[in-house]
Amino acid sequence: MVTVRVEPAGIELDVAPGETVMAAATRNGYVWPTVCGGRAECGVCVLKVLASNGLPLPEPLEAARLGALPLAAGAEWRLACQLRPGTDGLVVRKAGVRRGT
Amino acid sequence: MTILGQRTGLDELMCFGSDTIPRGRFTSKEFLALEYERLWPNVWQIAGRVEELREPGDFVEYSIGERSVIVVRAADGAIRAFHNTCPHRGTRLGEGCGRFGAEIRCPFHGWRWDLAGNNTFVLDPHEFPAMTAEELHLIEVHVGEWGGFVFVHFGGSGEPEPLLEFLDPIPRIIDPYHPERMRYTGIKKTILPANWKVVVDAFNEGYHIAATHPELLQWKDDAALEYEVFRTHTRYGGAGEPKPSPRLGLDPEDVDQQQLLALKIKDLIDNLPGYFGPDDLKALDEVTRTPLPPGVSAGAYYLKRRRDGAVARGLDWSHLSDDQVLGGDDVLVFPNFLGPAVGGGWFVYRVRPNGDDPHTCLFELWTLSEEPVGAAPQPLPAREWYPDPWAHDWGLVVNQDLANFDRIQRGLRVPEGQGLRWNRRQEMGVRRFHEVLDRYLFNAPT
Repeated sequence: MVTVRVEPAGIELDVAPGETVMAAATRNGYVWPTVCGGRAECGVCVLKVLASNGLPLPEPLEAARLGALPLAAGAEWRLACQLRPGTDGLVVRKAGVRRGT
Repeated sequence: MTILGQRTGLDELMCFGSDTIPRGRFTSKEFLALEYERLWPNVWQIAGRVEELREPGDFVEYSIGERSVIVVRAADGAIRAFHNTCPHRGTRLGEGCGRFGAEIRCPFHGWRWDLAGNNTFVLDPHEFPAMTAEELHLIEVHVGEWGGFVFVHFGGSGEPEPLLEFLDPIPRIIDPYHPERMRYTGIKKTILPANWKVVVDAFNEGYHIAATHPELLQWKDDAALEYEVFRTHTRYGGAGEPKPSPRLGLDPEDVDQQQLLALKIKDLIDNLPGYFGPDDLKALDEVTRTPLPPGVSAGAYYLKRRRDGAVARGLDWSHLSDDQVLGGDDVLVFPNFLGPAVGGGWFVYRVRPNGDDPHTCLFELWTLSEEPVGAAPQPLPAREWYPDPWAHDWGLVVNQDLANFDRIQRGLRVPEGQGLRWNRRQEMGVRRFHEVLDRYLFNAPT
């Protein structure tokens, strides 16, 4: 298990090995914004990386969807439905993450 | 009486007063027959464009179910419409579109009429001693014009209400875009595997954008769309400023304005071909290649570029609001004509039932582009007919919509399915459309 912190809500998520951030949020009882449900189609789950100890590179599917989002340079952006963090220390920003099902 | 029995059976398919929309409205042959009996004979419907009838003798055929009319430019310049059937043995007098010349002629026995419908020739007239001039006259259909469109009305229950009263408030919404100055840039037709109302409903809301057109979320603020319903027609629109959907939860500083603009323009040009006229495309394409001035938002730059482009093309948009230039108005002209108008054009669908099959419909995509006052008339574009909708690339956005129709219709046919639900705000137009339809079919007090 690694821990991911989600701002601005200040949520701490336990992420199992190989699990995506979105799946971990769901398993921990949170709603992560999405329309496509984790297929890297809608881009709605996009998160901003505030701090990390290194992340696996995006697979082509994630990279393609991220590339078509008008995201400001100078920050690292990932899709929560595809990102599988391997190490502790990840802090992300995502508006709209809330407790619920 | 058949009709009474039919009506009793079909009362269950009323939407008015119900919390749901019954599925049988989309799948039942009897419901389709009721529409042919009570809706289509009693509603104004768009038969074509004035530009199809430039010279005396030009005609265009319009058909709905078994009814067919020929809409003709008469010698005095007026537009008239006649039931498309010879008073002698019933032959259709015109098919598709074209030019009759000075007279309409029946190919079967050579009878002829002038363009006002008066009979001018009967071969061996002494063989028809009992036929009066009135009986020899072609049967007229009510005609109206607004915005360059020719409407017909079959007067099924007597004199139709005046066209502009029926259309209210569509002219108030659409007239600023100068529909009367628009001309066709595309006329495409196919048959879709869904009831005509499935197609109307699908285009009458923006709630499907997120799931069906997810790529639009990156520049379209779908949550900002406004919805309005009127006595007969519906509208949604606005949300023109390029801005990612709030569903993405991005802060303003997270957004790359240059890329935002490029994405919006790419979708409008590449994925909605014909949404903007060809003249606009080159100018807009340049926008994507030119870096935005520092501190200028995509919306402000795009707005200025569009307004400057209109001036350069001789179009007067001085009265248009920024929302009309950027976002536009997506209207349903009840019952079957709908699509978004925006500064410079209208991207519009005409949908009709396909004979007696409730599971398919005739679908047309018309692209209309505004021309400057006094512009030289252009030849009409070729009428494109695609017997197989998948044999044509309609552009990504329309392809995505079309891909839904077969599965919607087949899903609707599942006998155990419940009545359909609607989203109270974003699908209010869907609800309204069905209530207004019930006014025609069941005399519902809507």
